[in-house]
Order: sequence, then C-alpha cells, then structure tokens
Amino acid sequence: MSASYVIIGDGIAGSSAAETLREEAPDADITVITDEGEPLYNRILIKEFAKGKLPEAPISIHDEEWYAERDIDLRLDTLVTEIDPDAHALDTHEGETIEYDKLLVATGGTPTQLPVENSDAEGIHHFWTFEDARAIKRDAEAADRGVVVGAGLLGIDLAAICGAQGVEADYLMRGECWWRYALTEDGAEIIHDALREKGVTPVFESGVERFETDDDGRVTAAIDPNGERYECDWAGVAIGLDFNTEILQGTGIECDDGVVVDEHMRTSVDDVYAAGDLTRFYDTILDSYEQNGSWGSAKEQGSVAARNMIDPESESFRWVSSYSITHFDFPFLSFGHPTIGEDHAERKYSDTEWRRIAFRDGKIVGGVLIGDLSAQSAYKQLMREEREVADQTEILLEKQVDVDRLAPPQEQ
Amino acid sequence: MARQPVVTEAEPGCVSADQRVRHYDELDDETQAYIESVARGHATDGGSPDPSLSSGDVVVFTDYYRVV
Repeated sequence: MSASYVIIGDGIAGSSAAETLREEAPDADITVITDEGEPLYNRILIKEFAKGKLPEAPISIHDEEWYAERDIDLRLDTLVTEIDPDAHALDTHEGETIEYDKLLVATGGTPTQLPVENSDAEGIHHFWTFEDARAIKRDAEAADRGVVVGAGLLGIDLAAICGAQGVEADYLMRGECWWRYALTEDGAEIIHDALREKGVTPVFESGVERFETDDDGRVTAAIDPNGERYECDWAGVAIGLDFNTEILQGTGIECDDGVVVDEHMRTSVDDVYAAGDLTRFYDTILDSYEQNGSWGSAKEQGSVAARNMIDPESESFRWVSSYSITHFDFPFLSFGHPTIGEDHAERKYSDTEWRRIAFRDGKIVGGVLIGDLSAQSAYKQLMREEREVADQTEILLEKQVDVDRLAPPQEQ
Repeated sequence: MARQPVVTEAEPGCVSADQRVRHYDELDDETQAYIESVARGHATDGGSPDPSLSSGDVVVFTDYYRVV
C-alpha cells in the first residue's frame, strides 16, 4: 500500500515539500491543505504588486492544474480543526477525517495585531497574504496620507508601498533607528535618507498608542506615546509574526515560540514534521536552535522535510539564509542571524555603503550589507565553514574580501 | 543552455501578465552576484549563469532586469 503524506500549508515550505515528495515517491498519496483560496504564490513579489509595479498573474507560481498533473490532492479554503498524532489523523472544518503516515506542518504565521484602541479600523492594514496585498494596493491608490508602524523588515515594505503609491507617510518607530536590533545609526541613516526621498518620514522614539477614526469607523490619525498626532487615511502595521501553532495544542508537539524541530525537520512527535517560518530549528552551523523567515530557507526546509519523511534522518538542514530589500536604488541584504551576535564589526564606506558583521564565539553568525553585496559570498562561506575569524576584522571589512588572506583555520 | 545577457527593463510597470518574474532572493549565489554586477554597471563575461532563467524573464532587484 502507498504511503500517505499530508501537508498543512501551501506556502513555499509546504509546496516545496509536496513537489519533493512527488519526485521522490511517485506512488505516494499526497494531500496539501491550505486555508487560503489560492495555491502557491510568490510572497516576495506581492509587495511589488502592492506598489503597482507588477500585475497579478506573474505573482502566481502554481495553479490548481499543477497539483492535478502531479496527482496531489489540493484542498483550498480548508481549515484543520484537530490533529490526533496517535491516530495519525486530522479533522477539517468540513467534518472530514484525513489519515496520514507522515504529517508536515507548514502553516507559517499571521501578522501580530497591534493591541491598541481602534487597531481594527477600516484603512488599517497588515501585510502577509496576496489578499492583504490586494486590499493594501486598493486603499493606497486612493489614500493621501499614511502611517506605518513596525521598524523591521516587514514594516519597510509598507513604507515602500506608500512611497510607490504617492502616499506621504510617517513611519513611527519605537527606538532610535530602523531595525535597531541589527543596525547601528550609521547604517540605518542610509535607510532613513532613502525613505525620506520617497516621501516617507521616519519618526523616532515614537509608535502608536491609539488610532482615531471617523464616524464610519475609518482611520483618520495615529496618536503616538508622546501625544503627537499623525493624520492618515491609510495605515500599515507590521510589528511581528505570530506563528500558526494553535492547531498543535494538545498534540504534545513541542513549541517554543514556533515548532521545535531537529536538523531533519522532525518535531517531538513521531511522524510529524514541520518546515518554514514557524520552525525553531536546530541550526547545525551555529549549534543552537534558531528561527529564520526567509523564502530560500523555507523552501529548503520543505525539501529537507520531505526527504526525511520518506527516508528518516537521510538529510540535514544546513543553510545560510539571506534576505534582500530592493525598494531603493542601492541594495540591502541581511544574511544569517544578524541580531544574535555577541560581538560586531562595522564600517561605513560611503553615504550609501555600510556593512556590519555579527560574531558569536569568534565565528560569523550573520550580518547586514548595504550598497555593495559582493562580500556576501565570502561571509556565507566563512559561516558554513564555522571559521573563527572575529579577530581579523580588518581583512573582513575590506571592500573586496579575500578569504585566502585570513589565517588558516585552527585545528579542532 | 547558452548564457543569456541581461539588460535593464525600461519601465517596471511594463511587465506583462505572461512574463515570468523572479526576485533576487530566489536566485542562487552565483546568479545573485551576476545580477549585482549588472546593476553596478560592471562588464560581465557573457550572461546569467542560472540555466532556469529564460529569455523574457524579469528579475527584480534594485531595478527590473529582463533576460534577453
């Protein structure tokens, strides 16, 4: 009898797993369940759609025929209501019970709601799905003034959408600079200047204490903790991601702000795997449990999970992630885990070029490059090799990094 | 597959519905380095190393780039 694999989630992790399962197990029963009404789309590009730079069609990656051609049973608009790991079965909101030999949880996350007055008013947007992008674009095209809150990698997309749609906006940040956990003010100022050029004004030591609305319940202003009032008819909130793990309650699957998995993407429960943004995975490069929310990482985790679902412990996840911002005329790239370093080295090369490397135990654990990304290959290589290089920052911070100039690795 | 040169798209808004669009983050390390070289105006020795990029594809980086 054929093995049966069930995947919850049709983002890049779930879809990558489904594709790998079909390639590696031609006769298996494969079911993909998603609560969205459309198959896999390009989550990286939905911001370009919201900016008005791309039509809808190129955003879609798979259509329903793709799944049919591969004999993958795709269930759109389907909620999983309960998982019973002992019975190897799950229930859907339609009252169906689906049995599995192996289960993959790839449910991703949902934007964190801002716990302030009127945060659910009309005109206030969170951004994660293609549906979100459609609503954001529609409202932004009609808006005059915006407010953005969330000084991280998701918030800057909302700011860029305002800039592209001609919405003058105030970007309210809690700290002293954008992405303060990864950048210093020297690097962040490059971003601040670029935002200003697009009509988006960074506001520091700010945030949103409450929103004001009109009689129709539509947002009219944001009030920050200092009492300052920022008028708006469009607001974007990106303060974080809550991982979709509610369905795992009562299953015994270990969660720690995400689903805990080993390097084979196994959870703490037999025959249940997890992949994508919601994992807290064992990082074999750092020898610690980490999280990462990049497309490439999720795609790789899906493939690795699939191979291990077929042949347990056959493959390990070992990956250096990278995430770029392409809203400005200079590139920005974050690699690895730039916020967990104990030591750092940074250099500003010009008004638009800056670099910061994060170290832990003498090894590179991540970094940020602005303006010139050519050193990323060297840094990623050093990360994979787990080289102790924190004492050689002069070589690491040269414009062109030559790893051959570094002292040879110490014998372990 | 023969390597294809990459040129700048004149207007990002001119991407048609039937064009395949990829973001820089979807590319492998070698292709990312290639795209960045093109973006910086550096001469390249031929074309994109990524065989999955086909003529007509668009790559989103700091600008929009079209594979020809």
